[in-house]
Amino acid sequence: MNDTITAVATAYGVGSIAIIRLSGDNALSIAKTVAKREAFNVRYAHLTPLYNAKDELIDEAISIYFQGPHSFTGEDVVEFQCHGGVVVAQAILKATLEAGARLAEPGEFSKRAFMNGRIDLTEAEAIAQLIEAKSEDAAKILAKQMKGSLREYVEEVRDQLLYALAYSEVTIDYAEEDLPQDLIEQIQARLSEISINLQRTLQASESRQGLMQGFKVSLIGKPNVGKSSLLNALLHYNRAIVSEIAGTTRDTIEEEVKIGSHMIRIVDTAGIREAGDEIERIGIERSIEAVEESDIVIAIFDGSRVLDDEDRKIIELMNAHKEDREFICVINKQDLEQRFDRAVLEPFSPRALSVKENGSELISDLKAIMDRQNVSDEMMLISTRQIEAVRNTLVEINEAIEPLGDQDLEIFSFHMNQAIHAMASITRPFDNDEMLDKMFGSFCLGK
Amino acid sequence: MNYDVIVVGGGHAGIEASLASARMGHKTLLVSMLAENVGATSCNPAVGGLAKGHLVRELDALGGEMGLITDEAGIQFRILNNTKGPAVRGTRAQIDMDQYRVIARNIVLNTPNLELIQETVDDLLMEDGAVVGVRTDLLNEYGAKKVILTTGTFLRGVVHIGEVKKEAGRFGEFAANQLSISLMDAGLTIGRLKTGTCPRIDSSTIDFSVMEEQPGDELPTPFSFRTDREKFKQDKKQLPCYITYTNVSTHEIIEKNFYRAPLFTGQIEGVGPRYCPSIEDKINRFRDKERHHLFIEPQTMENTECYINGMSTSLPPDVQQEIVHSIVGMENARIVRYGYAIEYDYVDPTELTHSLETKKVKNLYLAGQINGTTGYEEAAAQGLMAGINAALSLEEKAPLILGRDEAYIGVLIDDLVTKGTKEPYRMFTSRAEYRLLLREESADMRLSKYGYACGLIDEDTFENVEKKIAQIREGVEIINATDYTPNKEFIAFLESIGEERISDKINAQQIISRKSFTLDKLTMLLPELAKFDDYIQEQILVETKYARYVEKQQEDIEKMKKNIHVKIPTGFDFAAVRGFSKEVISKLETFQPPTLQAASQISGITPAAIEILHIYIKMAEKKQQAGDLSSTN
Repeated sequence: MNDTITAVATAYGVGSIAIIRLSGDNALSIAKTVAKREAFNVRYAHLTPLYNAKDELIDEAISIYFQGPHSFTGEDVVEFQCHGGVVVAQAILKATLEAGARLAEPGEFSKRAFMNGRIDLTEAEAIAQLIEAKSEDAAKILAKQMKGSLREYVEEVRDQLLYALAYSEVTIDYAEEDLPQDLIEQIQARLSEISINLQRTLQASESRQGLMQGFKVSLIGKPNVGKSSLLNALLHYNRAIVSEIAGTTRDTIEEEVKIGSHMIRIVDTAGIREAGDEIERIGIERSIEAVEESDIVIAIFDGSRVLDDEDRKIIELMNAHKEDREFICVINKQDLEQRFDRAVLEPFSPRALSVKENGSELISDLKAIMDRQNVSDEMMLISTRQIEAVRNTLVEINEAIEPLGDQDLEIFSFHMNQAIHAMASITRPFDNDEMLDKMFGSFCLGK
Repeated sequence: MNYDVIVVGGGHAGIEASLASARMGHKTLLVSMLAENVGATSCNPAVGGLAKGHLVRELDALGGEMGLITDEAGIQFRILNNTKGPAVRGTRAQIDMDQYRVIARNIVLNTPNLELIQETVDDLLMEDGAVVGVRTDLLNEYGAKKVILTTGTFLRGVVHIGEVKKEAGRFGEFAANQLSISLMDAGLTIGRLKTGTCPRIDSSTIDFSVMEEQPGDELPTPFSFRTDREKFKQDKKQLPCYITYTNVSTHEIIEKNFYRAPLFTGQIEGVGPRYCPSIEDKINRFRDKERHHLFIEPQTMENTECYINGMSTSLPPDVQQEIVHSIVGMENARIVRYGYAIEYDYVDPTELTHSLETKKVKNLYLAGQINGTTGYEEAAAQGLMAGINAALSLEEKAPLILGRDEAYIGVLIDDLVTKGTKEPYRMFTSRAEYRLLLREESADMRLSKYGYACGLIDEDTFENVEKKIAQIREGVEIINATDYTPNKEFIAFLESIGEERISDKINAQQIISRKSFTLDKLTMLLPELAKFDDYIQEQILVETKYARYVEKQQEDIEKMKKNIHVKIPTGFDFAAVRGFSKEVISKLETFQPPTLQAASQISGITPAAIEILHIYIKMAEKKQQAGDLSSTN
């Protein structure tokens, strides 16, 4: 287990600096070999030349030695900060391999950090996802979590639950004691606070999934209204098409595009792109699916034509989702004579413009919507495991409330214990002794 | 002289330990410093209470004596939490402490295979890392195959009252100053704890008329499953207790004298129990509280002296006088005995295995306050288990280790030996994660089989328990097999007994587990249950109401057991587990535990360490599998 692992810690081929990280019992001796250096001071930035096995100079790098357990992994760690790009970093990596290190498996540094108790599960999860993170949004949320903000949040909720439990346990184990009369009311008040708090986190996490996974954006409208023009504007924004990936449903293709600090995924573009404007036959069923799948919907109408049945169906669909989706509504083709009855779209504050000329305005709108989601300071859960745990906690809290009202305190405790276990599973296990500490901290007990 | 078992100390642990060993047929010697005080209750004149009542019931189900003595010496019986759920109800008795002592001593002296001797044990006789006997202050040496120490507060005991400090094991009795040294020489870790008691008042000087009376239950319930319940209900004579309160002037007196309190001056170094704090500690920690209640408890049936429960203190005598006189109803009260604090040595209980034998000294068992606990009931429970396990070991049988899901006694011992304690350990119902399974009323059904197997429970008693189990099971089965459909007739019936109607086909269990469904409705709903007596009916009702939760707890237990039985591969490299301290690694390497269960029983191996170990074992298994696959390819 304590063999020494190595990897390029920075993104492949990007950036002006690359970092190669070594971790394990032999990290220091390997570094000494590669740097041909007698000694490294702990946490000191040495500027050292690095050599490969053939004794050829590779690069000059800033080398820092972190002595275990005061390092990211809890083991001895050495980091080389060298010039960016693929070639230099790979050469140094190779040199460390030649000197006896083993190539790290994905996430192995974090795994070691977790095993050595340097980070808890939430931090490990955040690190794992950060490696995969594609947008700055995601990176920001993950960085926050790595600093332990989720742990703090969990601890706080767990602490509050523990207090509620301690209040009821005290009335059980100290039945004879002169306790405050309104204890049950106090517990009830506390619980409803916790419950509202958790509910909010859960909703925020679910609705802001876009920040983590990319916002799903769909383009709807009947054929020939200008969807592909808008799509092109989006795809060519920043000339930064990231990738084409298989859609989550059916046989569609999703495009990932970076807009500002956000990642968007354009839902159901297959129909639009393959068919082109002329013979596109997007059915209303497809629009329904697209809307349901997306976070943000861009609906386009043709200003030069009279409102028809197909438009009405689309408006109906929009109304049905008015509360749970963000809409950008466009009345296109402003350069032509206007025949469209725009009053029907008033609730969606439509933009009247020509997509071909002013597509970038729509992109600004889109960005504004996404920026809005980003400002919220609400705690965010980043994995299904975390969301499940919070959901279970809520279920147990709700089940606990009825027996509390009926004074069935042992049943109340049963559910509260389950709630605490569920909540605590996000970070660390729960120990009964803590509950006793809470009891004695809060009440004057004992004859 | 040689014995099979020597028990050192005649308190509640020592009584149970020596009786169990003697009754299991082993020649036993009980060594007590003062034969007169075998079974003395140094603190309050009460047995039981929440969680403690559970312990007494369990002890009784296993064949212990405390429940029976309490039933006889008891002068008031109450079930606490009577309005709360059956799992958290606890029986508590006031006792005549003189009578308790006399009964206990008589039993000890009348038990075959058991001898009582008044001496003080100074040294343990050791051979090859095992104890082989004891030496006393009279220089007598007694050989023994097993030695059980139940020394209470006597090991290097120091009593504090104000500025006065005295070596004493209990007020007015010698301390045992030698034996601690013997234990330290054997390499056991010794710590220091503190506990205390309150002033006792001449009853004739108390004005009870201005206090609130607290009578016993109208129909008292005995502790022992072997006591005739009906007869007890009819015949038991009871005395009331009284409740009064401290007040602002009491608190002023105490605060003004903080500087003379041994607890605050540094005179006392031992750690005291948070759950049984002295009055000065309460005033100090909870300054906002305007009053603290006090229970005035008679010490004997004659009620000539009262115990002031809630006023434990080690303040100087003149301050104690002032405090007492500030209480309503005690303006003219006269103190007979002053309250005091006592510091004493205890052995870190992680030195013990689950059988209560020390890991370092073979054949040496420890029970009671020496293990860092407080309370008569906690002591008695450990004493019984130490006695049983010493006897079983003599018979070359596996020790009796009760699970956390089986008994409060199991929780008590498991907590002690795996976690240790830094303050006197007291039992709480909240310590038991499987609390719903561990009702007072089910103690006999859970544990009598063990008492019977050890020969501590007789045939007739055991048959009665078996019958009780069978009847309850039959009742529950009848319920589970009964479904109701929402027809007119049945809905009308439900309304007639004040139950909400049903709209779907439903099992009887779902109706019975409703909060509104009380015992009187049971036979109305299911007349066939009328063949069982009221007590059995009540148990059937309780079992049914808890069924859903019990099932969930059983699942949890199964899950835990599965995990805990995970095998640790032979030759497993503990040193490779990062995050383990050197100490943990060396312990695991020394003991080479075969399973996680065994690993968890080693002192200092925390649940967190077990979790990490579990992950590593899983990883090692995966690697192994991957290796196997590649080698076959």
